[in-house]
Amino acid sequence: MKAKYACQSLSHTIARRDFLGALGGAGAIAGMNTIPAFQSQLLAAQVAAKKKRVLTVFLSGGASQLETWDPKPGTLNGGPFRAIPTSVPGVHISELLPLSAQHMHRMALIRSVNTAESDHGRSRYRIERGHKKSPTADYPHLGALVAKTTELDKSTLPGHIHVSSGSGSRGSNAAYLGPKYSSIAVGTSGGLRNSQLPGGMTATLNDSRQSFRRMANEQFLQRRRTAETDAYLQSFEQAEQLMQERDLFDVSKEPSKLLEEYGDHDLGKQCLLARRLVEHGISYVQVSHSNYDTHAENFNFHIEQLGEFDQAFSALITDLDRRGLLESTLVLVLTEFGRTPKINNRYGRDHWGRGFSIAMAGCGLQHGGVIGAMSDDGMQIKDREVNQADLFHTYLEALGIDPTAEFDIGGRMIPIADPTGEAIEELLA
Amino acid sequence: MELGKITILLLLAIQIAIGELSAEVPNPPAEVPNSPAEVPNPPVQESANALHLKINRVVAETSLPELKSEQCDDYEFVRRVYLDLVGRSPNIEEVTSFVERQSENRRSELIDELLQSPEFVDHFASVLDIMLMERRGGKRIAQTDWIAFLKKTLREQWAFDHIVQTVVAANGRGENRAAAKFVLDRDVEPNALTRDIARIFLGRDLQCAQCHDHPNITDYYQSEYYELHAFLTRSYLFEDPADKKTPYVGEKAVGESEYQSVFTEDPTARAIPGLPGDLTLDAEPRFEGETAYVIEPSKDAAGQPKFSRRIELARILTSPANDLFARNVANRLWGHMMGRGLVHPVDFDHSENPPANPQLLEVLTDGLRECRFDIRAFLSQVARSKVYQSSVDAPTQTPSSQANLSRAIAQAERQLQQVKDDNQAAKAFLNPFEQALGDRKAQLADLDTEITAKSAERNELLKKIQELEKNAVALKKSLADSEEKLAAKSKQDEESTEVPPEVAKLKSAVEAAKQAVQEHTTAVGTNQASSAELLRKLAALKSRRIGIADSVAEARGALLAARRMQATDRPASHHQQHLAYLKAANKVVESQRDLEQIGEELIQNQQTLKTQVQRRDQVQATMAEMKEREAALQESYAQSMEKLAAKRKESTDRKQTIDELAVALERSQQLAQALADEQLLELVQSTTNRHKKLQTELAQFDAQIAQLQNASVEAKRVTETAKAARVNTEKAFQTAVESVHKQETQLAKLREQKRSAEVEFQLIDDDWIDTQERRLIMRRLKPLSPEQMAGTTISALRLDQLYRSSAESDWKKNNKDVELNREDPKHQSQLKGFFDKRVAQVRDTFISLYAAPAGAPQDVFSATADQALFLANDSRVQSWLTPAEGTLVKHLIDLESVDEIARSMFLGILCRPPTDNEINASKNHLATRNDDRTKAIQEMVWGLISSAEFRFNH
Repeated sequence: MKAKYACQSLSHTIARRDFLGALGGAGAIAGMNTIPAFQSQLLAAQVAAKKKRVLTVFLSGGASQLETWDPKPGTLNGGPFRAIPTSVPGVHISELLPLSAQHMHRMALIRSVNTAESDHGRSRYRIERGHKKSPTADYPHLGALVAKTTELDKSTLPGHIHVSSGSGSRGSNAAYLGPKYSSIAVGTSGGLRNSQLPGGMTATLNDSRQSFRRMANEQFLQRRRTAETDAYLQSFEQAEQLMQERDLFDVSKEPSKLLEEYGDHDLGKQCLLARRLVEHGISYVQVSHSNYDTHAENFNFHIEQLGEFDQAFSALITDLDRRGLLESTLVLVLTEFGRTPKINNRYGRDHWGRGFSIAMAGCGLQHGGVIGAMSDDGMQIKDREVNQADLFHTYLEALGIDPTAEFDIGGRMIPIADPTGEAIEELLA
Repeated sequence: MELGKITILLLLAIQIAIGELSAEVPNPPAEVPNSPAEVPNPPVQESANALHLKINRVVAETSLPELKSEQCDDYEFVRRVYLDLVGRSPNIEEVTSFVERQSENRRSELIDELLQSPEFVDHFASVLDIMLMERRGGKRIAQTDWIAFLKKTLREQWAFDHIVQTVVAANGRGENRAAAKFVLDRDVEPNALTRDIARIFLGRDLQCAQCHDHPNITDYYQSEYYELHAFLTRSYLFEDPADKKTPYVGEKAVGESEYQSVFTEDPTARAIPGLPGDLTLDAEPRFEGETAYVIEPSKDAAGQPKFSRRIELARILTSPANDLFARNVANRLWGHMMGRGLVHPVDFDHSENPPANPQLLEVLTDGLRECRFDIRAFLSQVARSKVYQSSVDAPTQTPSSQANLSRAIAQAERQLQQVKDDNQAAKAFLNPFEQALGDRKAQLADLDTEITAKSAERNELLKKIQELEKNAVALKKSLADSEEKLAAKSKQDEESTEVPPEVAKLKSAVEAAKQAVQEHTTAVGTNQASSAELLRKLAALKSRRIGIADSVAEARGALLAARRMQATDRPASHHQQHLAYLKAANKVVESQRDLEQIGEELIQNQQTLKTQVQRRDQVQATMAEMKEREAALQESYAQSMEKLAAKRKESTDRKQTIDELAVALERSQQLAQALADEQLLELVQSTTNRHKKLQTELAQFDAQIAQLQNASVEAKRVTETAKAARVNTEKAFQTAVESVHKQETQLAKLREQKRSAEVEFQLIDDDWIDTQERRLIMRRLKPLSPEQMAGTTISALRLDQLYRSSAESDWKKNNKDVELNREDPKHQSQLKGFFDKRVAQVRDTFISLYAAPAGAPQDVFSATADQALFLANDSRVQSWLTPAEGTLVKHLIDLESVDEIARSMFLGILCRPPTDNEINASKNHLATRNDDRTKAIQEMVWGLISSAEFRFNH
């Protein structure tokens, strides 16, 4: 019945409290009493220790379920590859993923995803946003949701990053959550955009212009301050801190031996950077691997692409596990849809949204679990059909977030996840 | 209730209602012209009825008298009004010429000059674009065409309602093809259009009501959604195959909106096209027999019905009868000027989210109607109001003393209660009228039931009669047949003598038939009689019904009159808000008091700590002294003991000597006596004397020793006493240390409390600021829109000068063999094109970083680190700071005096002169950077464009 209005929402108050608490670090702000920096750092560390994060590997174009997580060797539509045993007895996956197979006891599979879409854009929308595309409403990307819902710490870091081969700008995928949660593209070569002082500027010169900026603010803020002016000032302090932390976005700071483990190719670099980012507490990182849209030569393409994927993914899981990060990181291997069981006359498979597989690893899961099954010819979902809404409920629960809660967006109550979905309880730890 | 009483009440009610009416004769509703040509230039309203004066009055009436903010100064005003009306800050010359203007009416003059300037057209086209399209980009209608259309409407002074009507009705054909962007770029999708028409033109976000009545908002209904949807469901996107798939809006003559709640089991309902507030489409023409189309929909042609529901929607939506539309437009335009609508968010107008100031919104809505939706006239009045021109400073007076506030709160609570009681009383007053109407209606319903029953009975009877008559005809026919047969038979058998049995049979059949016919006729008669009786009864009932229907009408009239007299639901929200406002003030005062108390406690405790520390240090000093003394005592005791031991040893030695002497004497005496040696005896005697003397001496010595021993016992006692005292002091010291420590802990706790009280205070103060902003006591600091950021950056840094010359070089590059003629209109417009392109680049840069996502409300503020990183390090920002002919940075570099630099810099960027403090800061900055003056100036300019003062409109 009661709607809460703009500035009294709980999340606002918490964020504001955190912000006011964090001001200690930036003692130069006029009219503000300071809080010792150690206190906020301690808090941040406490939160960071509990903080959950998500790392998504998106197989772009539509990876074949039959050549990855749900092989059907020896059947009409099975294709040429064998199924191999994994580290979980009884669970078999395609022989194209021999390294990943050894991590099955840290993973879970869903083999019965139905988006009911066979268009790249529309199906991808469902997988990434957890809703079907609607003319009347836009929904936030999973990354924006995760960034928003895990935001309680005072991190200066952006919460939603898409790793790409080149450095780019901000995406427009946060819908009603606002641009703060839109993805920021970070490249494997450029690092974070604009995080380096412009040519010819030294740290001293930068200090000098920043202090002039602060002086200019003082006069004005003595007349008037608001939560918005505070936030504006804080964004500059955040930027300064980000510049100090810019190495965090620089994958070349990782040992080259480790890159060898991941594979010295784009996906390897991206996965390594992604690990570096989640390790430093960034809420959501997505990497993508392309060329899965195999209308022709499905099998050759999958041999090639999955070779890279298998190496990078396996190294990623090993690395996360070694660092103890797998307990707090949910790893998702998504794709917009699968491929037709029927093999076409160009040895290809076409778009198939009515029954395909995704893989998960890490926190909050029943490890080794396999959910759903397709019929022997791969054409029908035989067991436990799930859709994008169910998937979002499952991800969020695995992160310890209540998917049935609501956001208060300027007085509008908006459900966090599509209320028609339900979490796959048997898959959750 | 008796009828007599009702009549009296009714008369009373009518009298009062008439009295009220005559006391307040409303202006006859103005015809809203639909053609822009008919919109006259509104006269300058300076009468007492001018909207801005009404605004002043209602704002004054509805705010706390002791909390008045000051009017802004001319510098603040000039920046504000340029930003709001032309989308950029004024440059140095514009600021200076305004503040130096002699006219007393300079503010009003400037408002109207800006409203008449071409820049207003450019800026407001973009404001309208964002309002209507929410940055959807150019999907089906190019952005440039759309902006050109909007600019045209503004140049030609179209009224707001006319723009909206055109935009909703457009089908993509003819001169105003671009107007169809609103519909076409939403893919002519009925749900998308329903949602956005409700949001953008009615201020109601009905999206949730698509699938069910709104779960959180009592006055958004699913039926409402579909009633609007029903206007749009017949429209569709048509891509002309003969015209490169150019999109148009087609419409069918059939198609209805049906809906069912996903929550309830209610059956599917069909919506009648309508808008909230009883604006239904009542007369939909039917084209029985003939075609309903001007153009039949087909694969090759967009359908165009003779009666278009969408065009009808456009008309009803913008008609003067549609209160919600006028209210929404007034709220949005107010929001544009003030940074926040009175209803906020602007598309969330419902009973649980009342306007911050309902009376003011009413005044604005009426004002908008009175100026016939003329955008400039309305904005001009808002800009003239005191509240628009109030200073950004917090009110100088603090929210008075708590006692005053408590009194005010009590009073507001009483007022609220009064309103609630009044509403209750009004309800009680209206109750008998409602009851009476209900009773009458029930009577009428009962009568109708009876009439229906009787009619049915009569119909039944008539049917029966008809049946009987039909049967009678059959029977008569069969009688005739029988008689005919009998006659034939009789004739045939005349010759025969005996009556054959067949004839007898026939005769009896004829008799039976006659009988039956007779019976039927009787039955018909009876039934007809009953039918006549029923008809009489029905007539009586119907005449009774007329009486009752009249009394229903009468009761309804009485109720309406009573309602006019005694409106229930006098809005309590205003009082509630006032109360909330006072309470917020009270909370600030309380929180501030808490903070002060903690502060005082902290100071007291600090004092205590200081005293305690002093005491501890004193005790420590005493303790040190005592230790020293104790050590000295111990030392002297030890010395005396040593001396005593030495003396004792000496005594023992002496005694031994004496004893040895005694032994020797005795032997000598014996020897001497034996020898009887006088001399020897004498010697013995003298020695004996000597021995005695020695013994006496020893006794004396021992007495001395005994004295010494006594003294040492005393010394020991003194030492021990000193030790005990020292131990006590040590304990006292320990206690002092402990209490200091305790006090320190207490202080730390208090400091912690103070910190959280400070955070708490900030939060409460945030709320307080928000409340004051909503109540229009404090002017809202409006973040600049991305467009305003771009415009202001260009204007402040004088990049326009730079872009003008770049436009010329761009032109020359594109026109290699032509001589540029700046007077040539064609060249001028080409130059403007190149110039606009440069400006657009800056604008797009800001949009990509500062704007809300496409299709979402655009009035949200976000401050992100990547924006700050952009300002700090992006090469584009650096390039804006590069000195080039005409730019601010170049101008500053060329200035000699530091004072002049500071003055031009602050006037150019922040539109105000610098304070002494700022001049000094600028001097210092330049003084430390004598080696690189250019860079130093760039740094200062950067500092100012990155300041909060630049980022906000104040």
